[in-house]
Amino acid sequence: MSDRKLLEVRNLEAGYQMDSPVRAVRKVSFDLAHGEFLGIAGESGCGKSTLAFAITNMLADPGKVFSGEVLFQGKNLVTCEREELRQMRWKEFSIVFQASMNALNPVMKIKDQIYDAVKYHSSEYVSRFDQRVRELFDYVNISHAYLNAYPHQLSGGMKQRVVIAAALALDPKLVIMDEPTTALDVVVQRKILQKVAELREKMGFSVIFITHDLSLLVEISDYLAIMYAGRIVEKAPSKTLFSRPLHPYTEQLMASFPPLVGEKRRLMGIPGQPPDLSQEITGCAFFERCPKRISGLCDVIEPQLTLQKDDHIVACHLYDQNPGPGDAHAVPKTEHTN
Amino acid sequence: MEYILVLLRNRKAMVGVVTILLFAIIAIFAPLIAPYPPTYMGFDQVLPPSAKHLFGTTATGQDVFSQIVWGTRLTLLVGLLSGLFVTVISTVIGVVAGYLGGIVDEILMILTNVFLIIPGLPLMIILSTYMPVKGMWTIILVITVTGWAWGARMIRPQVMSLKSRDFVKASVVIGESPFHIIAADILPNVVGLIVAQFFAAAVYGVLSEAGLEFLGLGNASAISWGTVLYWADNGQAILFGLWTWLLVPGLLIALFGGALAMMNFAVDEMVNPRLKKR
Amino acid sequence: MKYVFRKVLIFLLTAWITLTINFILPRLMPGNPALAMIAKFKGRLSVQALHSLQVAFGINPDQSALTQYFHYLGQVLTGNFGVSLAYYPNTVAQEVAIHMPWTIGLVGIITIFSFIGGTMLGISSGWKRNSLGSAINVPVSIFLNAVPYFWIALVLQYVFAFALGWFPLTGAFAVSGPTGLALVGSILYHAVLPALTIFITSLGGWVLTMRNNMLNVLGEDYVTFAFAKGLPDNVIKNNYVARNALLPNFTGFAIAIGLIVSGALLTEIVFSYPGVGYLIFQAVINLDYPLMQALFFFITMAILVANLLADLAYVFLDPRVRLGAE
Repeated sequence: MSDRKLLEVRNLEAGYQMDSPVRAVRKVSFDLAHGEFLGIAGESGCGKSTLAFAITNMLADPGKVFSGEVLFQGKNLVTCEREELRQMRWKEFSIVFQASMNALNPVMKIKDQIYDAVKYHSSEYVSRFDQRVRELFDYVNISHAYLNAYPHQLSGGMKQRVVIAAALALDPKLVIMDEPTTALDVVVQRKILQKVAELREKMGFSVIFITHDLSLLVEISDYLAIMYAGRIVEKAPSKTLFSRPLHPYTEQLMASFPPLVGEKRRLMGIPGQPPDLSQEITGCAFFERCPKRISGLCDVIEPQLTLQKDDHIVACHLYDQNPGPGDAHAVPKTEHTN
Repeated sequence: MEYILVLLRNRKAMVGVVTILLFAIIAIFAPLIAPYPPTYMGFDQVLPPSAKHLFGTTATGQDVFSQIVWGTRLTLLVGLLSGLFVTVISTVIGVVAGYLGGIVDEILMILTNVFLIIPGLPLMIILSTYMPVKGMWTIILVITVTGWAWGARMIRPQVMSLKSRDFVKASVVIGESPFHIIAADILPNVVGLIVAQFFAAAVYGVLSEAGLEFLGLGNASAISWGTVLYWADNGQAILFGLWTWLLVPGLLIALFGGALAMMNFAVDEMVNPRLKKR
Repeated sequence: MKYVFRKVLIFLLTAWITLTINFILPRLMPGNPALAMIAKFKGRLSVQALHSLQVAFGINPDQSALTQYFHYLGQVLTGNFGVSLAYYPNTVAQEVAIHMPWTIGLVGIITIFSFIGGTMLGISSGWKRNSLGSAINVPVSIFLNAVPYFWIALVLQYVFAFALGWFPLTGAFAVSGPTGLALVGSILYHAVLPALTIFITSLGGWVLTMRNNMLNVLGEDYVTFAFAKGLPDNVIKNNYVARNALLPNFTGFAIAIGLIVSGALLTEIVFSYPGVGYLIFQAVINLDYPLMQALFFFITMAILVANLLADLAYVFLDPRVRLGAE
C-alpha cells in the first residue's frame, strides 16, 4: 500500500458567481488514500454536490472554483490544462451523479454510451471492448440482452447500475458517487451499495460517497466526514464517528436515525435552518441550532479543525482544550489503517 | 414590477422597447409630423425623393412620406390589436385544455393541431375573399382565426405541469373554485409565457396585415404600410425606379416586426432559465 | 405504431376539415357569395362554367344541404374541382397540376438547403452561446425572421434584376422558349432570385429554433455525464447535444413549413413565378372561387404530406417512439 495519497484537497473554496458569490464549499481540506472509502454526509444544500463537481473540475458557469487546490496523484486538477484533464477523466477518476435517471443519452444504445467513453481514452479495453462491457454488466447484474437497448427501456434501478458499470469501465482509481441511490427504493439502494462494496474489494478503487443518509454509509465506509454549511466539521474512521461523535451536529444527526434494536426512543429533528450560503458567516455556522453553544465564543470565532485522538478531527470550540499533536492545522494526518 | 427592471436590463428588450415606442410616437403625433395630408393627390406623379417629398410621390400624386407617417397608425393598431385577440384566445384555449384535461383536452388539442397545420396565408386569403366587407376589422378577424393555435400549444403544457404542482393541489384540496385556482395560482405563473406569446402574435399580425394588404385583400383606400406597398407594386414602382416608395414601407414593417420579435425573444429568455445569458 | 396511426388520423382529419371549410364558408357569409355569384353570372356564363361553379360550391338547389355536402365530397374524391373561371376552359385540376410542380420544386429544394444551413448555424450558435458569431447571428436571425417575405423579394428584385440587371425580373424560364439543356439552365437562372428570397427569410427561423433547442439540451444531465466521461467536445456537441436538439424540429415541422409556404406564395407573386402562389393571386383577382378553394385544399394537402414525412422521419430518429416506452 503506497504511502502517497491519491487525493489531496487543500483549502478548496468553490461556489456560484451570482450577483453576490454563493460560497458553497468553504476551505475544505482532506486527504484520500488509495483504496479508501470516504463517506461525506450532510443536509441538502450543505454544498456536497458542489464539492463533488469542484473536485473533478466540472463546475460550469456560474459555478466556479474560487481558490484552493485539488491534487490528484500530485497533479492539480484545478489548474490542469484542458486536454490533459480530459484524458484523465474517466480513466483516472469517474463520477456517478445524483438521479442518474437522465444521465443516459436517450438516442444512443447503452452499449455505445459505454463504448465512447472507452474509445476516446487510450486503453487496453478498446480492442477487447465487447468482452469488457459484458464483464461490466456482470458486475452490476444486468442481463447482456440490454446491451443493445435504449435508456428508456430500462427501469430506474437498472439505469443507475448501468451508470455505475460505466463508471468502472476504465478501471479508475477513484469513483465519486454523489447520492447515487436517493431516487431509488430502499431495497434497491441496499443492493447497489453492497455491489459497490464488493466491487471495491475486488478492484481496489477509492470511493468518495456523498449522501444525506448517514445510515447507508456506516457499515461500508472507512472514513466518514460530516459537512455543514460548506465546511467539513468532523471526520473520523466510521466506527469511531458512529460510536463517539464529537461535533454537536453529528450527534444530532445520529440521533435522528432510529436504531433497529434497543428501546424505542423519541426521534429528534434538528430545529432551525442551515445558514444562507450567499452570506458571510461569522463564527460557527451551526451556532443558531447548537444545543451546546457558547455565546461570545462560538458566534465570534470560527472553530478550526483540530486533531483529536484516533485520527479524529473536529471543528468545534468544545474541544479546543484538547489539541492533539499538530493542532489547529486544517490538514490532519490520516493514515489508512487496514 | 421587478420584471420591468429586469427586462430593461436586457439589451434585446431595450432595442425592442425603444423601437416600438418610437413608432408609437410617430403614430400618435402623425398629424404633426406628416407635412401633407396623405390622401391629397395634387402633387406631380412619380417624383423621386427630394427635399419637398422625402420619399417621393406615388403614381397618383400623393406624398409617400406623409402616407408612411399616417400609415403607422393603422399598421400598429392592427398589429397590436390582432396580437391581443390572438393572445386572449390562445390563452383561454391553452388554459382550459391544460387545466380540464380529459375529453375536453383531447378535442381542443385536435382542433389546435388542425389549425396549426392548415397554412395561415391560404386560409386568410379564402376567408378575406368571402367576407363582404373588407377593412381593418376583417383583417383582424382573419388573423385571429388563423393565428391562435400556436400560442395555445405553447401554453397548454405549462398549465398542465403547474396543475400537478403541490401548491395548486393544495388549493384544490381546500376547495377553491376552478376559476379562483386558475386566476390566482395558474395565471400568475404563466404570465411570462403569455407576454412572450403576445409579441409573437403581434409579429404574426403585422406581417399578415402587410401580406393581405399587399395582395389587395384589405381596404385599398385605407392608409397603412401594407397598402402603400400594394399601391407601389400596382403602380409599377419598380419600373419607375422609385425605390423609396417600394422599399421604405417594407423596411419599416421589418423593423417593427423585428422589434416585436426581439421583445418576444427577450421575454422568452427571462422566462426560460436555460436561455438566460450568463 | 400507435404514434404513426395517430399522425395518419390527424392527416385525414385535417384533409376532411379543409374540404368542409371550403364547403361551409361560402354558405356562412352573409349574402351567400355562392348563390350571389351564380345569380350574377347566370346570364353570361356558359352552361359548363355555371356547372363548374355549382360543383365547386357543391350547390344543387334540388338537394338538401347534407346531400349537397356528400355529393361535394364525392366530386372532390374523384378529382373534380370544377372548371376554372380565370383559365377557362381548363379545369381547376388541370391548372393546379400545371403550376404545383413549380412551387414544390422551388420550396422543396430551398427548404432543404435552408434547413441544413440554419441547423448548422444554430448548432454552432447554441454550442458557443457567448461567442461573437452568436452575438451577431442571433439578432440578425430575429430580424430576418420578422421581415416580410415579399419585401425581401422586392428588394432583391429591385437591386439585382432591375438596377443591376444580373437576373431576370420575372418568370420561371425565358419567354423565347429554350429547350433541352438550355431550358434547364434558363430555369435555374430564373429561379435564383425567388430561391434566394425564400432561403434568406426562412434561414433565420431554423437558426433560432435550433439554437434554442441546443440551449435547452445543454442543461440536461446526460450532457454533463458525457463531459464527465471525458469525451472530446466535438463528440459531445454532435452525438449528445445536436442529435437530441434536432428532434423538436421535426415535431414542429408542420408550422415551419406552413410559414415557409405562405411566404413562398408571396414571393411567387412578386416574381410572377408560375407556381400556386401566382395562381392563387390570379384566382383572387378574378374571383375564381373554384380555383381558390381547390388551391387552398391542395396547398394544405402538400403541407400535410410534408408534415407526415417529417413525422415518419421522427420515428426513425427517436428510439423512444420507435420502440415504445418501458
